[in-house]
Amino acid sequence: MEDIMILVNDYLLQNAKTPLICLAVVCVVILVLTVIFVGRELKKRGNNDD
Amino acid sequence: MKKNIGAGWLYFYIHFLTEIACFYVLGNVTGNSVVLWLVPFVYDALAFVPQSLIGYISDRFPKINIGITGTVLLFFGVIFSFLDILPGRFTALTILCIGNCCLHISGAETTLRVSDGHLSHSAIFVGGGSFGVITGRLLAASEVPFLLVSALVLTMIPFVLLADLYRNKADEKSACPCVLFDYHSKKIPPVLIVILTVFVVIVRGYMGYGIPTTWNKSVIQNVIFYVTMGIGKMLGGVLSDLIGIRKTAVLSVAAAVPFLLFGDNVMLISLVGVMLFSMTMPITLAVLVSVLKYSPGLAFGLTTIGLFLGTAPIFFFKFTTFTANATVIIVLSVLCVAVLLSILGKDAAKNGRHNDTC
Repeated sequence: MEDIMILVNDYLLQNAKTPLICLAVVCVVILVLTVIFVGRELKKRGNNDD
Repeated sequence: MKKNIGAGWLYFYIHFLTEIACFYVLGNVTGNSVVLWLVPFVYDALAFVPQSLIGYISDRFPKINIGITGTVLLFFGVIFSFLDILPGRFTALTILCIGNCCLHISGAETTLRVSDGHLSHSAIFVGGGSFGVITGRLLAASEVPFLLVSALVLTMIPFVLLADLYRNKADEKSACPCVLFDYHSKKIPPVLIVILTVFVVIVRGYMGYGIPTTWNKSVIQNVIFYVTMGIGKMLGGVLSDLIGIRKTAVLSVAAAVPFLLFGDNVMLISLVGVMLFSMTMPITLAVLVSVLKYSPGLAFGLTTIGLFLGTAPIFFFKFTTFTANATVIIVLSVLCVAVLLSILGKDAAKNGRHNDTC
């Protein structure tokens, strides 16, 4: 695998774990909210189409 | 000339300046190497992902002037980044990113609402960003003072207000101007269309920044690369309006494959590939708006989430061999063509129904 793929940012992964974890948590929360909102909008759209 | 196309050009300028401000700040960030590597990644996450939330808020509360809010936040983001008076390493950057998000959503909402279901307006708005990214990088490498860039940000205010006039007019005409977007296939469930479209955006994000371009070494080559990307996005919208969205989508992705495959060392070939693949940008946006007609801001936010998901892996790994790259490009392109063919409705059905019952 190493022959075809290189880790660009190994140093980053080793040294910046805390900010990366915080960022990941924020992103996941926003993603979950987005999925909820999209679901709600699609439901609304379905009702309107009916 | 299309109706209300002026709003697209107004937001072309606003988007151009927004990216100048952001990439000027990014280019000037100094510190230890961890921070240097981390900042662009944090920027990508905070500038792309929250756009869906801000878009949803903008859809629900249209009285909030998200464009002016974004301009003010961007202004203070630039100022605080250089004065370094706020606590926390990423506070100023976060303000800058939220300002960036607000301006993107404002641009998307305005250009989508005024366009009467056409793609050119939003494509012109989106195209401005690529020109801004490279200009911002060039300014960061020069001796231009941050106060000048902050002043440039403030020049966006009259442009935002002028674009608001177009938007207000469109909103007066119809409660939901985006109902005119009708580009998606009716045979596939809307939720599946959303998922598949976001997949195409993810692939576009990867193709734009992850494919190998070893020719891209000098500043001028980098400028040409970003300019080509911007032209591709604009061309995608204009061509879709002229020859149809389905034809544009399939032709651009299929034609891009050989150019992306063999463009690693040859600038011209690579640029044609990047330009062709960038043409899918306004197409994916139009499909998402077709499905989420009542929430154009949220639809635009979905495309930026996809863009983040497509570019995020590039920060951590890259394929190194031609075979691996070629396999990835071919497989992803074939999947994209199949997805686009299935989610796009027939071109003839472009000018959809108009109802005001939202």
